[in-house]
Amino acid sequence: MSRVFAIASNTLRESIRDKILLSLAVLGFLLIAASKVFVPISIGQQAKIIKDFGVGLIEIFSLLIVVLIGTRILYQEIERKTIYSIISKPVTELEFVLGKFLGLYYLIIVIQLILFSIFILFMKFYLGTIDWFLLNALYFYLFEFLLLDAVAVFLSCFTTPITAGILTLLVFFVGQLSHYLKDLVVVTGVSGLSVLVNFLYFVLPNFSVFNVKANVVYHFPISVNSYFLAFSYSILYALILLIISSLLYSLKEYQ
Amino acid sequence: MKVIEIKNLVKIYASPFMRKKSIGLNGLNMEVEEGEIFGLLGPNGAGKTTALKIITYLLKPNGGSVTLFGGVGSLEARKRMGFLPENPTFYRHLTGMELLQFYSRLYGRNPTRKELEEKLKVVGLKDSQDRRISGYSKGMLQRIGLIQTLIGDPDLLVLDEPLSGLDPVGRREMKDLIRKVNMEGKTVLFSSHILSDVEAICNRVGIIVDGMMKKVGYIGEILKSEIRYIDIEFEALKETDWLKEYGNLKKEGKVIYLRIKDTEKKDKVLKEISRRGGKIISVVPQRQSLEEHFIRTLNE
Amino acid sequence: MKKSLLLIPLIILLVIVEAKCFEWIPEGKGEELLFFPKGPFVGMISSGFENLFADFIWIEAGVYFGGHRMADRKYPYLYHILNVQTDLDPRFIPAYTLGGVLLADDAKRTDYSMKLLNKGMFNNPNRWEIPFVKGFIHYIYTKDYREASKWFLISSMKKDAPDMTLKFAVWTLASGEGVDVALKLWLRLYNISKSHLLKEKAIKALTKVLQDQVLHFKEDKGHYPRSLSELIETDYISFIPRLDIGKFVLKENQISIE
Repeated sequence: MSRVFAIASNTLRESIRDKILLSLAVLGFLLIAASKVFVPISIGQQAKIIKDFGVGLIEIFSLLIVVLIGTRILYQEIERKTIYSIISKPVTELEFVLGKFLGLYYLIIVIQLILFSIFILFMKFYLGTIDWFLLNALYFYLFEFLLLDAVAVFLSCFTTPITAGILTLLVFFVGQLSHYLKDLVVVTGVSGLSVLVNFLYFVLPNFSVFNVKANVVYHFPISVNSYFLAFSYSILYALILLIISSLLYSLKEYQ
Repeated sequence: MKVIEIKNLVKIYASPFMRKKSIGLNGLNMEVEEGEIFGLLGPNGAGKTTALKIITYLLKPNGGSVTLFGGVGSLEARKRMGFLPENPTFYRHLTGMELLQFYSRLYGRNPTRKELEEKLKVVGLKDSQDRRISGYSKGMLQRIGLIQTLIGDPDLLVLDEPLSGLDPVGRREMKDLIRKVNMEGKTVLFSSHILSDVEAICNRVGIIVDGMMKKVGYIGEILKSEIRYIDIEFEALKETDWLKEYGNLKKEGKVIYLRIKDTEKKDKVLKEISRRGGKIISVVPQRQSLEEHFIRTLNE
Repeated sequence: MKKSLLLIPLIILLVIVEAKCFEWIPEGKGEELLFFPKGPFVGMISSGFENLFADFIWIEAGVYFGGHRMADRKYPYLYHILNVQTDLDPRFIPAYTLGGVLLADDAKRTDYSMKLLNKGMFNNPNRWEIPFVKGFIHYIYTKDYREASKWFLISSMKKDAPDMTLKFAVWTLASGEGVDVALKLWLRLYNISKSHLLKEKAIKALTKVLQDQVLHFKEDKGHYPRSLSELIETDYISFIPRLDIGKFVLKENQISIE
């Protein structure tokens, strides 16, 4: 188990020392600040717009991190051949995959905490008060990106970073549309299409369970079920993906 | 105990898109005994790296068997060995010290900074321990590569071209190190192109050609097996034509060189030269060099 | 080599997507709304970010409205924009309330206004603001006082409804077309709206009502009243509306605010 943490903290260190992270952080800060631009034309709705913006941007940002950095992590090990010195050491594939996954997840946690802190400061500065209810979004995002992290790790097992990145994006957006897909199944009577839609609905992870953006901005209560669902769905699905990934890795060879 | 026992190992490289396959190993047989330094020789593409990668679990064989340490599982085997790949690359974002600390944790160890500093001192990297790997020269990479193989205190070291990229001083140090760890009881298997290095440190040598082990033997035996010819250097003999029947004759100023192939006749010829008034300067038996042996094996 | 081959299917895909987008354009296109698609489509492409997209559409609506107010004062697509927005974010009350008033007043489409307000009530059954605005529209624009009273009553029964709503229900029923009810309604609207737009509208309307009463006075009595208080004494109005920015006064026979 300590090997997993060793690989995880190494992965985190690698990402932090990678310059991409710094540029993304600066970009994130600028984007949150940019929501101020919309205040004068918001027709009295600046509170809502700033909150929607903040909450939405943090999600998009974390998405970018997973897509840009997460899909490269495994590929880099192979491309730079640093993996030679890992495979030949007493590390199981599962430990390796878990370690990489966890390293990226540490990064996501750090980014989320930083962005939410910036967001809270902005709220205080522009709106005068802090809406602590918005922090519920943090809980759901932590589990949403746990799952997406596993998806990225899984996809980068068998494709190049660019393809894995595009696929991860697709999985995320189609996953958000799950409830639309369900309606689509009812609407389309056509057999071929409904089979495809059904397939997409059941196989692809359902990211709409993590979507509480409307709730947190409008202060709708979130059911205890939702918290529990986010927690268990993400961990279960992620575990399955990671186990499959480690199996795929055990088949790999390194010439 | 046989640390490594390989029987009939086969490895086929097949690209999924192209129909042609290339055979990496074609029924390799090899054994490495505990405590020896075994040198693996062979031309490019013969299968040296392939064999080493199969031993270290980087490649999977298509046929045959590899038994390590008498038959332990993969995890146990990897605990007891250290691997240095050819042209090694390590995590560029880590410093030398951080790299060793990381690898130590993979072996389940947690050495102190001081302990690792000692190890780094041995290869002369103590001063660069806090520099990022991205700033290491090839020689430094090779040296820290050797240290990371020793991190887990393994019983077996597998080294792929460990001397490549080192300057003469570095090479000597590396050879000394290999000898040193061997004396501490570690078995060493390494591959190399540089025959003189192999000659210098190995106990046994194996020559791989086209994916098969062509010849294996103790260095001493291979080199002793034949004295090809004897070179006699002498002077002050006027008449030399009679010597032509014994071998090749060459005159260089006052000195005459005779290369006789039939070594049995050495004593007779020497006696005769002396009797006729010649002065013997030197008698040098030319053993077959490893290089010649090697090239001969290739052509068999 | 492999990567550049990927470009060709990508470009074809892009062309197809663009062509599909054009299919979704509403009939009778004005150039400005060439790229403004229908509700469900927007919902799908906003995939999880509905609120944010709704905010953008809200801003878009503001731009659209403001632009046309300067120009031709015609707002053919206002309903459509607000409709899409409320598809994305059904809980956004100002879209229904402000939108409803603008549709009835500026766009002169009370039918659209009603449609939007009904949708608002369907999606937000517990809010008092929407039936209140519906009552308001009936009173001011369709002049259907029974309907107005009905909706004020419904509004008064919702959670957190202010007492005023019940009073309006009673007044509209009792006095029908009453100047005072109109004054009170516009004053209420001024007080509850957060946007400059509605506040301006309310001020204009209040000014007009008072001015009309001044003119009635002149017609009846032959001369202008000396002050608004005289209008109160002679029962033309029962009170002078007071705003946070000042109160209404009569100066040189014109209504203004001080």
